[in-house]
Amino acid sequence: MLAKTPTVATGDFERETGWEFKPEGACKGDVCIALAEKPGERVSVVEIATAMGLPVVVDDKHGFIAVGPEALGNRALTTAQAPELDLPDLNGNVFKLSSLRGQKVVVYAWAPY
Amino acid sequence: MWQALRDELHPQGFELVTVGLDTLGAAGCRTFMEAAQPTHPALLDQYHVLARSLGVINIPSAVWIDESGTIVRPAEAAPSPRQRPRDSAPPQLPPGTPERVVGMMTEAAKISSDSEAYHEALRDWINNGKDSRFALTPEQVIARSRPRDDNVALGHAHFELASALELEGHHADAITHFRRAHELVPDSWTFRRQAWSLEPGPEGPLARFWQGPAADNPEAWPYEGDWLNDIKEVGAENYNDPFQP
Repeated sequence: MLAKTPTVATGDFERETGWEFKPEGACKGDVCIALAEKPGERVSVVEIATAMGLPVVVDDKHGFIAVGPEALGNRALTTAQAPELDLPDLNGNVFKLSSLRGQKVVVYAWAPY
Repeated sequence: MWQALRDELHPQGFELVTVGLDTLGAAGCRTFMEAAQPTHPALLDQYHVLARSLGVINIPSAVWIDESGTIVRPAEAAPSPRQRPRDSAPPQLPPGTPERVVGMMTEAAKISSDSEAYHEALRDWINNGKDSRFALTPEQVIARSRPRDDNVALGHAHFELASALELEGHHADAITHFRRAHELVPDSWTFRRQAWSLEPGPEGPLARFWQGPAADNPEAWPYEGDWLNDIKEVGAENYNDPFQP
């Protein structure tokens, strides 16, 4: 995820990273990372990412904070539960992958280069 | 070709979601998407969310997700449905085609894919669901997803930052972080091709496919690799992993 402020709304952090804060810690699918305390309404991006073991790159020149994904189990996927994807179409309308529950879905990646 | 397959299988409860991975977003993808006239969700991914959230490292590739939202096959090479037997002979190019393009087309013709096996498997899954031998268990799905250590995870952060810098017009700074992403995630073709495609190429339709040093000014190329050199080094036949049932 990318942030341009040191703190962000907790819900934004959850949506962007796919990790949800629960009483047992930060959770994705059935995997949880224990945290000392459940975050409030806002989180410090660097602090929470560091506590969760997520990589952080801070770009002071342009004011970006980039948080990378987890590397739990040394695999790209931590869980087989599909992540939520909120991506726009050509008209800028955001489509949610979860809206296709009940169907078999192939997510197909292509590029024009 | 995927569109026809989708329309055929849609009545059986199948949906296709295409995602264009391109920092340039609609500006880069629009022509192709409008030509395809998709009847399915066709989305744009300017920050390569599919790379970090699903482990996509090359295109075309795909992930299969069942009715409950469980991944049953992680990201893997997804060749197009084949319409005719593959002609592996290098394409005939018009006289005057730049030497680099001839080299690229020759290598591209050597890229192999298991289209028949892949599409047989896809149809088997659509017909048989979880009883299909091609539907993997959650444990298999995780184990078969791409390797990711702390360096790879850090490389994804650099790539996302590079994408944002590119979009804000800080091209030179974007290059710094694209280069770092390439070092840290050496198996990602999309991370490299994306960055290469943002460098100026010759005017015209080849601009974004050039992906390498200009013939008259090779020193200006800001990356270690380029498409033609990298594919020769890896071997075009190894560009896609073979389909693994």
